[in-house]
Amino acid sequence: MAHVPLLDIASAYADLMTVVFSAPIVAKVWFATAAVALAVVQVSTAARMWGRLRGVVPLSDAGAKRAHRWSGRIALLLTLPVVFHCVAILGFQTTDARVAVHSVAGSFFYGAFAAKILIIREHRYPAWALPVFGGAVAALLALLWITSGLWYFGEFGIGL
Amino acid sequence: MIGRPLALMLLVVLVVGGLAAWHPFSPSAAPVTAGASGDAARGATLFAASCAACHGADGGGGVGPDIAGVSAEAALAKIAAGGGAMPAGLVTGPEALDVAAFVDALDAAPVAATTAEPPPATTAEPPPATTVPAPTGPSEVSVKALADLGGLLRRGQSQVDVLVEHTGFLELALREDNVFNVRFHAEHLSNIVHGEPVRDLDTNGEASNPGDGVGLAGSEGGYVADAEPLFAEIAADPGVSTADRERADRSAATVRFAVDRLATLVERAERIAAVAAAADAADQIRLAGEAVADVVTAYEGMRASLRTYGLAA
Ligand code: HEC
Repeated sequence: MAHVPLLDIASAYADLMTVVFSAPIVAKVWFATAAVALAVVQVSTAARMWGRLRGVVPLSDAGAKRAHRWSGRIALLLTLPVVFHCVAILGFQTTDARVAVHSVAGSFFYGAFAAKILIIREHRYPAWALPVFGGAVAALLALLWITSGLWYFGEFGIGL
Repeated sequence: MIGRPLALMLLVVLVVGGLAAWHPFSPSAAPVTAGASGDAARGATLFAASCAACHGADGGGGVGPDIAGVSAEAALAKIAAGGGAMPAGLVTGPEALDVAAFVDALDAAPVAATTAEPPPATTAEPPPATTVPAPTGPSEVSVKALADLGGLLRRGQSQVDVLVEHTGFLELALREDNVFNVRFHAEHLSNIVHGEPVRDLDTNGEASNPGDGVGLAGSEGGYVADAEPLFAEIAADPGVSTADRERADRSAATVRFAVDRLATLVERAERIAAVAAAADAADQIRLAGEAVADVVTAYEGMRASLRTYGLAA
């Protein structure tokens, strides 16, 4: 019996997503695409905070910091419906190489993210740790999007 | 040096990976035995209110397909997921269980009615206007085989109907030049035919099946494939009249023909599911349509022939 409310959750999710999008997978693709766009903001504001890309990112130090925080928070929120659909409804799959790579990268994404947050909070790790873990989070997200969103747009065209 | 972040990362990876392996909300993964738990009587009222408009009061079909042979599990998954014109989650929770139990019970009564179609085995009258009955009389095995065929082919009818319906969807998708739907419906055709385990032919990340999972001719058999041994049993029974044995022989050959056409259909569907542009699939879709038409003709012929047996008389 415990499974019945769970079924409700899956169909409630599908209903919610199809209010705007033609199918849950389309919703997922667009949320992920928005998150990737924000990840570009993440990487460039991070570079700016480390004193790079001054000419490219026209923000003050404080402005870059604020932009980094908020784009990160919003990006993380955007990944939540995606991860719900992927992890809780579809699950780990290895149907083909694309799906397998996507499943593995997806399993690591929040782990890398959690490690990166811990590294920021506890100021006692080597200097290379933050850019390495921050970069890993961005790279995993890019890989996830290439094996899903980019693939989807290539196969089925861009649409809602 | 960075032991704590790495440990945290590992922990989160294990949690997420574990959830993904479990994927608790997958509609098809829910191991529900609704027959045991839903209340078919309560389900009847709910069915009349939420489903009958499309599936008919007795589930015999209308806008939606004939669902008389659908199991509780399949009905529950369909209710949760929806599909085509059918909205997801029309009924939920315990109500969904009740409706599923009602759908499950649907096949019992009509199948009994069908199997009762040939005259009962107890009447000793000679078969109508056919050849002289063999002296020993048909064995119980043949009588039962004929009855089983009635039930089997009746339940299979809903799957043939779903197949026809989805062939229509495929043709529509071609006309709309919608490659996503072309591939999607091709996957459905193949999965309707093969049943479980279903395959993700269009590689959209979900192996979906609008059929009931039993299929028509898959690795585990199916409504069409399973008919052959039953016809063969009748054809091999020395107690059965020559006319009936010949009938059964022809039907067994019809089954083989239908299974062969279903295999062709699946081959076409596999190619269609991999096209890059909808127009590329045009020829294959035409051939798939021809295969489906052949299957429908063969199936109708088999079902109609069941009524002509003098076997049980
Ligand atoms: C608006 C019309 C509509 C309503 C209402 C509706 N259905 Fe359906 N149903 C359909 C259509 C169309 C299909 C075929 C869609 C597909 O194949 O994806 C279908 C398919 C199904 C199937 C799968 C049939 C098969 O052979 O695989 C089941 C089971 C089912 N419906 C049960 C129900 C139940 C139970 C209800 C009530 C809670 C219901 N339907 C309400 C239109 C409807």
